[in-house]
Amino acid sequence: MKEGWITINKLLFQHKPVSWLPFNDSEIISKAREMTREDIETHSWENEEFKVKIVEDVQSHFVIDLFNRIHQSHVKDQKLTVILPNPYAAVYENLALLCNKYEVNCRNLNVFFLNEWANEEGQVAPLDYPSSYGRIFQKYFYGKLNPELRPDEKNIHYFTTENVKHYSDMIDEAGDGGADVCYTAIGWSGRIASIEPEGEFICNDMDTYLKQTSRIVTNHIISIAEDSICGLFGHSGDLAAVPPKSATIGPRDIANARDHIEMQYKMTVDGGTSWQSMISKLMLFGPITMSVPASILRMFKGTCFIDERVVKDIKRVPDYPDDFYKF
Amino acid sequence: MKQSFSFKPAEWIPFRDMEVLERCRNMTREEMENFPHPNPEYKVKVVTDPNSAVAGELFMRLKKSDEEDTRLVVIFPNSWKNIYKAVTESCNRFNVSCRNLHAFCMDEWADSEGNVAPVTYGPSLGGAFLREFYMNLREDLRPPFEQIHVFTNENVKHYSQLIEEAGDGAADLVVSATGWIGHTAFIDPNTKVYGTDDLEEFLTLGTSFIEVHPITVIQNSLGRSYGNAGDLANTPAYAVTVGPRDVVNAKDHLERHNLTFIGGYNSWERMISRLQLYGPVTPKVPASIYQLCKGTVYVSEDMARPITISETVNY
Repeated sequence: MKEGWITINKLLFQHKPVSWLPFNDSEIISKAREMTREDIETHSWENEEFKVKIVEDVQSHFVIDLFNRIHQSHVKDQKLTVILPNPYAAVYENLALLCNKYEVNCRNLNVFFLNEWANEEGQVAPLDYPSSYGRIFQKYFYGKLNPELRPDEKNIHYFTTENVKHYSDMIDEAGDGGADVCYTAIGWSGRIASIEPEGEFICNDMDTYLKQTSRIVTNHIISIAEDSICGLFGHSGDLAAVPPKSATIGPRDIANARDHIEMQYKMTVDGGTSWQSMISKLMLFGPITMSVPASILRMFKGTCFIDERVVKDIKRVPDYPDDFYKF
Repeated sequence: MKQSFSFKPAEWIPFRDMEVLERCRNMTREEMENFPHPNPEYKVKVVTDPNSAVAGELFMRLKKSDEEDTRLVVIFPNSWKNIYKAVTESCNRFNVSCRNLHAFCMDEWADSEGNVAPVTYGPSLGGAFLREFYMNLREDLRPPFEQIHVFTNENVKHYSQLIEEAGDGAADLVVSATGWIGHTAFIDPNTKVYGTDDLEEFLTLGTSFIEVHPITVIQNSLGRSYGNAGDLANTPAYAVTVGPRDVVNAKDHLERHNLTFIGGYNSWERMISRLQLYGPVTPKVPASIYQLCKGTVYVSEDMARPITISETVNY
C-alpha cells in the first residue's frame, strides 16, 4: 500500500455544508436528516392545527380534497376561494371530469395561483407561453369543464404584468381577508410558491416577513435546476430554457389563508430519487425561518401530505474501515 | 412566428448564447449522428445502450495491451460500477492480464481546506475504482499496485505530470461522461481555477483543487452516494480534478451520454449533451473540448429524444 494512502486513510473526511446554501446550520441539518418515518408520524408539532400525514398516493388526496371543497361550495352555495399550484395537469383534468360527471357547479369558485413565470424585465408570461402555469390550469380544468358548470372567467385570476403588484389584495378581496385554502408543494430550495429563501422577501423579522405581498422575484439557482428537469422544460436539465424570474404570491397570502394543503410527492418516475426528501425533513424539523420559506406552514392550520417514498431514510454510502483496502 | 414571451437565461448560466442553445435544443436524432464536425476523428454514435459499447471498447483496449504487451495509460471516471464489473469479470473469464495498465482516477472529493477525501470515505471516487475495477480483477491479472493512481493531498499538484510521465506525454485514453453544467471530470466553468475565457490558456491548465459550480453540487446530491435525496448540505462542494490539458492531450477518448433516471425519461444530461457535442468549443462548456480530440461519444437513444414539453408528466 502506498505510504500516502496509509496517512490519509486514518483521517475522517468531513466537510461543511456548501456555503451558498440558504440554510446551512450543519447541526440542525444533521438532526433533520436523521428523522425517520416514525419520528414524523409521532412528532408533536408546535401548532396543533398543523398535521402531517404519510400516504401512498398524495395526488389522490389532492383531487379528493379539492373536489370535496368544490362540491360543498356547490351544495351550500358558498363562495370558495382557492390558491392553486402548477403544473398539475392530471389533477385538474380529473377534477373537471368529476365535476362533469356529478354535475358539480363551480359558479362559486374563485381561483388564484401560487406563481407564474416572468422575464428579466418583470413581464409576466402570458397564457400562450407553452410553459405557462396558468395555461395548464386553463387547458386541463377550465377547458375540460362543461361550459354550464364553469365559473365566470373573471373568477379565474391568472397573474399578469398589470395585476402582480396587487394580486394579494385581489385574493383578500375575493376571499374576505384570505383564501379558503392554499395548496402548495415545497421546492428544492425550501421555497413555497416562488417565495425563495434569498432575495426579495428576506427582511429582519418574521412579523414583517408575513406581511409581504405578491411581487416579481428572482428564481433561485436551485429552483431553476429543479424546474429544468420538469416536463414543462422537456425533462432535459435545460437551465437556459427556464425563465429567470417569477410572479408570486407573498407570505401574507399564506398567512391569511384559512387552510393549507401541502403536498410532497415529487420524485422520478421510478420513485427512486426525490430531491424533496431532504428539504421536506428540514421544513418539518428545522426552525421556522425565512431561509426555509415553506417552514412557515407549521404556523398555520393545515395538512402536509407526504408520499412514503419521499419520507425515506436518507443515507449516504457508509465509510469503509481503514484496513479495507489491503492488497 | 414571434414568441409572445421571451427572456434571457439567468446570468449565472455559463453559456448563454440563445441562438446556439436553440439550435442545439432542436437537433434531431438524425442530425446528431450526421452532424458534419470539422474534426473527422471525433465521432458521435447514437445507440440503445452506451454502457455495453463502452464496456466492449474498454475490454478490447485491455486485451490488445495484453496481447501486444504494450503499456496502456487510462484516465478513469468513477463510479462506473456496472461497466467496470463487466469489464473485469470478462478479463477474469478470458484471462486478460492488465499488467500493462496504468490507471489514473480523474477526480476526487475534497473539503474546503483542500484536503482530498481518502479512499475510505464512502462516496470516494478513487475508493469506488479500487472496489469496482481493481479488486474485482483476479489477483494474477491485476497491474502492480504502483500503477494505480488516486488523488491524494500529496500528489494533486503534480498529478498531470504523473500522467504525462506514465504515458510518454499523455494518457492513451480518457473515459468520461459529461456533467449538468458541462463539466468533464470536475473541470467546471465559471470557477476560479478554470474560469478563463481564453481557450488556448484553458487547454494548458492541469490538475487542480477546485470549488465546483453550484449546479455540480445539485447534480451530485441526486446521486446514490448521497441518498438520492437532494441532500445539498451533505454533498461536497470541493474537489480535485485532472485538467483540460490532461483531457485534450490524451491520444483517444471514450465517452458515454446516458445519465438518466431509471426509465430513461428524465435526464439533466439531455440538453448539455447536445451543447457539448454541437455547440462551440469553449471553456464555458468544458467538455466541448472533446470536439478537438480523437474519440467516440456514445449517446443513448433516450438522450437523443426530442426536447419537447410534457404537460402531463411533471417528473
